[in-house]
Amino acid sequence: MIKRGEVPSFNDLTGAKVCLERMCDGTTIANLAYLVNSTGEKPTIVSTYRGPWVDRYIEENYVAIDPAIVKGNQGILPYDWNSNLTNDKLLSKFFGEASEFGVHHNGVSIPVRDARGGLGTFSVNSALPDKEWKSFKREFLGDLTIFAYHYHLQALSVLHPSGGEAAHLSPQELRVLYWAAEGKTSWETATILSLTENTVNFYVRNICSKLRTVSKYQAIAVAIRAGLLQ
Amino acid sequence: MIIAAHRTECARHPELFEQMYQLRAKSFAERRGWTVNVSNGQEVDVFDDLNPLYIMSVSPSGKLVASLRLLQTTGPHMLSDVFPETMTGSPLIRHPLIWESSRFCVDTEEALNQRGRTVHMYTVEILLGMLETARDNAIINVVSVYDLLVERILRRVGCPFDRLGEPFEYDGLKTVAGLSQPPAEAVKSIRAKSKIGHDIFSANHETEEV
Repeated sequence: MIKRGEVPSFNDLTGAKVCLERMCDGTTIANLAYLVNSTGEKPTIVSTYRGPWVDRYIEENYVAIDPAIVKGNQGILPYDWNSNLTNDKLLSKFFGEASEFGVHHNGVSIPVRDARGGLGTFSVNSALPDKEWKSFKREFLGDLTIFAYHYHLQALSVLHPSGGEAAHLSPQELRVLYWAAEGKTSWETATILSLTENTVNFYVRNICSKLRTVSKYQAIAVAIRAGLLQ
Repeated sequence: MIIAAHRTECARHPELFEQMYQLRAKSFAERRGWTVNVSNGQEVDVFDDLNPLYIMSVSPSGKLVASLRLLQTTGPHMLSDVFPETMTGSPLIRHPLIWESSRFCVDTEEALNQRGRTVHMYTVEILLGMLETARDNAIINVVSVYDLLVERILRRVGCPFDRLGEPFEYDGLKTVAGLSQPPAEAVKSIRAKSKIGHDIFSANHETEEV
């Protein structure tokens, strides 16, 4: 199950897998898979799928035809597996095998693009019936997308420890965070800085995302620790 | 009607993509005089290589009338990679639920070629196309850099953006960075204001009309 405001945390690929396993509940989230294509290297796959399916997947090079990867990896839109009606023989074989290995037919693949232009794909596989899956997706797609992004950044820092974009806050963002730390609401901060509440909420969200936190209070704590807020 | 397509889906709508890159050349190089790369009469830049999503407004006769481009702000995008923070007043944006819109343009001549239609109608339609796509994908805000003419257009169609900084001079035009309202709310108010009730992604409405 995905909890609102959860941030993935792990230090190596084993931890990355445990992190995914912890979120699986067998029904709503049956399986999770993450794939990243680092330049010039074999793709790194972390998943909760059973070993035989993963072996089969790699052996048959399904990464080249899996619509979750091919479509999900490319654009900016999460890709719903159900939009997948096909007469393609190879794909039919792929779906047939996937279901034999216990992969459920509902799922969504979320493309993640990072500041260096790198791409990852975070896939959610669900055992929910179609109707429940639709309403789950409607409610949690945003949370899953945020989780996918943080997961990708964390995975990159494991794979390439020296890379990554250092958090940088603009003067206006620091002002917004300062007033948040003083206990002001978004509306109050908006009044103080002559902004709209919509703009203040945008600053707060963007600050949280850049500091890799999910709440305003976490962001304040991180900023103080990093010496950003004096 | 609205068609939303990634660049990798170009082969499904080859004429529309060609018309879009031509319209961009006409709008940005010829009319506004921006320093953009035009080759073979088409304007394409590095951000088009990131497989963005294009929102296209198409006339009942199948011609492209308006278009814009959507990129994720977590990846390379114009506001954070082309315009320095000190210029726009906007911070560097990295959020998985905030998209950037760019290359917004309307073919005013083509719009007027269509009987019973106006530039305004296509403008409203394409902005709805952008905001409904954003809403349906859990996007919270759309940011964009545009000139003051576009800012006025956005206000007129009932889709006001908040300024993220003061206007600045760019390629000889007064330009500003802006932030949309949350898409769900913006869609409601634009639809109410322009009295549009039909599904803009479906061609059915247009066949009824003709």
